[in-house]
Amino acid sequence: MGLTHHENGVHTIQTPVNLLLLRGTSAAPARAVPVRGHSNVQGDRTMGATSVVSERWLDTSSVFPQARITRAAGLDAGQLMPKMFNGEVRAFFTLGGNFGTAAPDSVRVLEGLSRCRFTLHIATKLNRTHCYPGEVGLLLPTLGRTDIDLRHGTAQVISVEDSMSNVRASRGVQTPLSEQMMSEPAIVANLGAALAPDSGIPWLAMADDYSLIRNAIEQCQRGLVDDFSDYNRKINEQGRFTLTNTARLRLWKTASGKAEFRVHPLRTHGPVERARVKHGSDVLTLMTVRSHDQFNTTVYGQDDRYRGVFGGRNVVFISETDLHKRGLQDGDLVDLHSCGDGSEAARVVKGFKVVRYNIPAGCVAAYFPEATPLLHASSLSEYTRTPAYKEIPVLIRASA
Amino acid sequence: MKHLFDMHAQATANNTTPILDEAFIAEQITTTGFEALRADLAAASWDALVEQSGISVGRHPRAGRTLPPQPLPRWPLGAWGSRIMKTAYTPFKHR
Repeated sequence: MGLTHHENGVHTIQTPVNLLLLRGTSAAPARAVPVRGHSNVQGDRTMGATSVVSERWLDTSSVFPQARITRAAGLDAGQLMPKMFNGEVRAFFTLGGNFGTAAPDSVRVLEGLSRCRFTLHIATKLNRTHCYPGEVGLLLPTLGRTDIDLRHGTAQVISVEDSMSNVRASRGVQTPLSEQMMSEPAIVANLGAALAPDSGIPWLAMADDYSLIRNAIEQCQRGLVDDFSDYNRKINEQGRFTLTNTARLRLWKTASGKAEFRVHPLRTHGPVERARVKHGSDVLTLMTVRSHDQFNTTVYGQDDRYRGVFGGRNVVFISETDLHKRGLQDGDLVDLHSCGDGSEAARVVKGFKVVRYNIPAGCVAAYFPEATPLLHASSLSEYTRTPAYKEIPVLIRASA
Repeated sequence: MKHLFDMHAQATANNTTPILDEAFIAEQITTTGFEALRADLAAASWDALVEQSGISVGRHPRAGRTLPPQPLPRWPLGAWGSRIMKTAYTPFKHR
């Protein structure tokens, strides 16, 4: 995230790859780790769950010839937000996540959710997004990955792809909170059976036996990702397998057949530079960070033993230089005012406690998602539309 | 990287262990990209690099110098998911 959450996130990734190539270390022992998100996101992408699904992938869906599958592109989160603000998006259905606070411009996103006609969340844990259900809101509690998933007396096994491209079997070990709770795959399959009963997809059989889902995945992936051959056998016997990564094998899928440097001159017009033209040198670069006690928007505790902050998360880390420059002291309360692009509407978070920290002058840090209201919804990474959460131009003012 | 190029030039002059993997670059990387990178780094000013990287002037050359002779140790260089540390420390804390 440190590399991707920038306006020029793709360039920021390509630059350390240049470094690896210079040292001839793109293969063992040092190598780039192709992290595309946490396990869930990683596996989703391999399964083709993304807003623009390739034609090759869609063609393999002929595994179910009766099913009519749209070829139109969907919306990613960055494209969704403006359509939610202007009322075009009327229904919102998520599998997990806490979109309303994870998204940039989160105050406006939560308002947008409230204006939806219908929202449906499948979740393991309550979160703030669920408090903005729109006109009709459904919240379906689901089993967590650690829960035993019994379907007609047989414990089911799911597979997840981890950050290192390993696909692993995952079995629950804990007794679920209620016998009525269903897993995410079972809920989705039941929705499919209700919404698309004539698709020829054996929804309910799949809900009761996940190996049937894996068989279908193996068929769909044939010719695309060959690693899924014998999917069920690998999961049952080996418990894991690793997806092929051609760069690791020094097979370069480029026009030249060789690895290619991507050269990106230093930026001179990034979001902070643009803000400094308008607002002067007081503009600071805010990055959002995670604490020890959280996983993305799921905050398990108020402590951060990484940075010695305990009992609260509305804090801003600031260098001694910037503290003195502003006449502030450790522990003072301040408001953070966003001054990036599209700052015609005020984006402010108030009453954040100042924490003196060893951070470069000109830079400050605050926790994610507490600081997400500060980023304009259009402040996204070029090419990928990832929010630029590591580079938010802000001004600091003492709280009134 | 700017510093690595300088170190490499020095190593070549002194006939010591090279910093860049010239054989790998020649065999597996398009030469044009390499020359473009070399030119870009030569043109980049240290002041701008220091300003944008957030590493202070005194420390900057040292950051480059910490690279050991090849082969590199198993350094994770990339964007690590926070999940790795979280699962190690707090696997089921929410229960």
